[in-house]
Amino acid sequence: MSTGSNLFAEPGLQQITVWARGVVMNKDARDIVVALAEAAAREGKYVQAWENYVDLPDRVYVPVRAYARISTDPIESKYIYENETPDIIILVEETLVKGVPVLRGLRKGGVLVVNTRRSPEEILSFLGDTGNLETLVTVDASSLSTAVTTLSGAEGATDATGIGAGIAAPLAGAVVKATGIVSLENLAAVVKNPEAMRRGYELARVTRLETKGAAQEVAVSAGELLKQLPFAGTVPSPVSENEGMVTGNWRMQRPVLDQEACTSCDTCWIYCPDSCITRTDEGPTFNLKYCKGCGICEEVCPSGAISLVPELNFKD
Amino acid sequence: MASLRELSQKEVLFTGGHRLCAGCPAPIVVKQALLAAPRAPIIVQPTCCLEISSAVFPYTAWKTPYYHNAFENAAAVASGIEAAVKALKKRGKLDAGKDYYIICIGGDGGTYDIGFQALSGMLERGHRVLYICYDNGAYMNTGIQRSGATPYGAWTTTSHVGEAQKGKQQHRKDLAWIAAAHGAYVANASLHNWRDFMRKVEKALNYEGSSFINIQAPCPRGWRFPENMTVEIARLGTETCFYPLFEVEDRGQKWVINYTPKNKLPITEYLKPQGRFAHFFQKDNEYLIEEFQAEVDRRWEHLQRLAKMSAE
Repeated sequence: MSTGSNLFAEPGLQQITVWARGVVMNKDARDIVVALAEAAAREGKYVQAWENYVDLPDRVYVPVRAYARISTDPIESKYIYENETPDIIILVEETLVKGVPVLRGLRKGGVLVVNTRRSPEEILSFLGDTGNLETLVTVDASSLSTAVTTLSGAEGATDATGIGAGIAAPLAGAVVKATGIVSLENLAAVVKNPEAMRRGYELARVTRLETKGAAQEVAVSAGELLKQLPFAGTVPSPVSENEGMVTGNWRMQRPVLDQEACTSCDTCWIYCPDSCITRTDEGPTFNLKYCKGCGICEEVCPSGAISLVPELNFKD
Repeated sequence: MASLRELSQKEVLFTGGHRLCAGCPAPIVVKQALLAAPRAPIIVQPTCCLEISSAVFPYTAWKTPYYHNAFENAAAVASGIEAAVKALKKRGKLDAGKDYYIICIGGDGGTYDIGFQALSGMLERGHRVLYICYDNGAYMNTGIQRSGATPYGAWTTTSHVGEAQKGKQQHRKDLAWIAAAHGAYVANASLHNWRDFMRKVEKALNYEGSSFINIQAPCPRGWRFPENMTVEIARLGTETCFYPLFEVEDRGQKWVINYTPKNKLPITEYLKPQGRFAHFFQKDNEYLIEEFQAEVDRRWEHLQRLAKMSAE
């Protein structure tokens, strides 16, 4: 098949990238790619589904990726372990629109599916320049099913819970509505909860956008990161914090202090796992650049002065 | 011991910006240990969650000298560093009047199992090193495999729950007791009681010889509880006497219990919030709770007998 100058182009190939939160949702990310790939295989397509090894071992809340490739022709790029130019991007959790470059590498006419109860406008306000994005799909998958928190199926363990018992099924249904990448019947035959899948299909809200026709770039890959690494050597201590591992985008909920109620007892400070709390005269302040939103500060606070607020309620 | 108000003025030598789970106990342990040290200690680590997440090349979250080693030899390397400090002091290359503190921090996999012979050697030779084991009761980094520290009946990815077996078949190894048999300063601690733990770290660092502190570190990922409950689960571990706070001095002769709960909670209080024990509460599995409780009671009573004998 000739495709002009690019010998390596695979015009029949569609890349699907799923973003999720480590541990608490990685099973659902894996289920989406496996379900879509298996459904496509039933239609005689060539398929692949796998998890991003760079993101492993996954940690609680860390952004993780799972990938699928579905093609009308044999997949020749099968030994490239990351989707560098996805066609469809799925966010298992809504906060990923903030601070995580989820749209990077998206091809022209790209589709973004977000599990959220918020409006498409609100989601778009966090995405900024949407570049090649043409279709935004919002669906409240979490209201239709619950995430399956299990390591079953991960890291070589046997999968005892089946595929698509949690929020994966309605999200996969929403993908089908916007893209028709597989038939609903074939997907229903694969997932464990076809009812939730159908509801996801029905409830999905599809918004067509004006594509801005951004230049094609490549999602940052392990190969690129490797080139930036020095070969070996000693590592200097951080001056203030570790700039090489900014973790603020792990956070789904933000700690907020009620100054009136705070007694400045410093209990939150001694238990914060991310050294994010600093004492000031006005009480503790939170370093949101690194806060992962674990909620320990709220839990240990003896005066109930700390509450957790969904991160997307804040524009900053 | 300084108050929290005073401590919070000190620089924390372990910074934000590490890849440990939200709600991970390990950085809480590290922060408390470093705050208790009179000055920046030399940190030695075997492979573990904490190592792999806090020192991702070419960055680090540690504001201390830091050595990463293989699983097997962290305690051996720490012994070597201590010997080197001595030799350099003798040759006048290091200030002989200055104390150099060496802390080795490992998980239970690298301490109870893989690194055990190196640890035993270090304790026996009496190197002036503090070894802290943050005990989360399984190989969490590699995907929750059972270790010598995994409690009886707990689910892990290598101690399945099914028809043939209900989680881990054996009771956990009591490493603090084994360490005490070496004649080192030994303590059991828990991260919810920072005051007790920090006092023990301070004491260990000023101890003329080896010391070993085992600290309870509840792992949300492997134990299956919500990320914000880390401190509370640790508290329940101690209130049920599953993880008692004690220390051993005088070459294993003097056993002191540092905290005796006024009202010892039934073990179900500790087991119930943890997903790894969910099968304990299923039909026909009550025997697991009884067996677990009986072992907790056996060990707690034994500990009390030893403490009583030491006091006489």
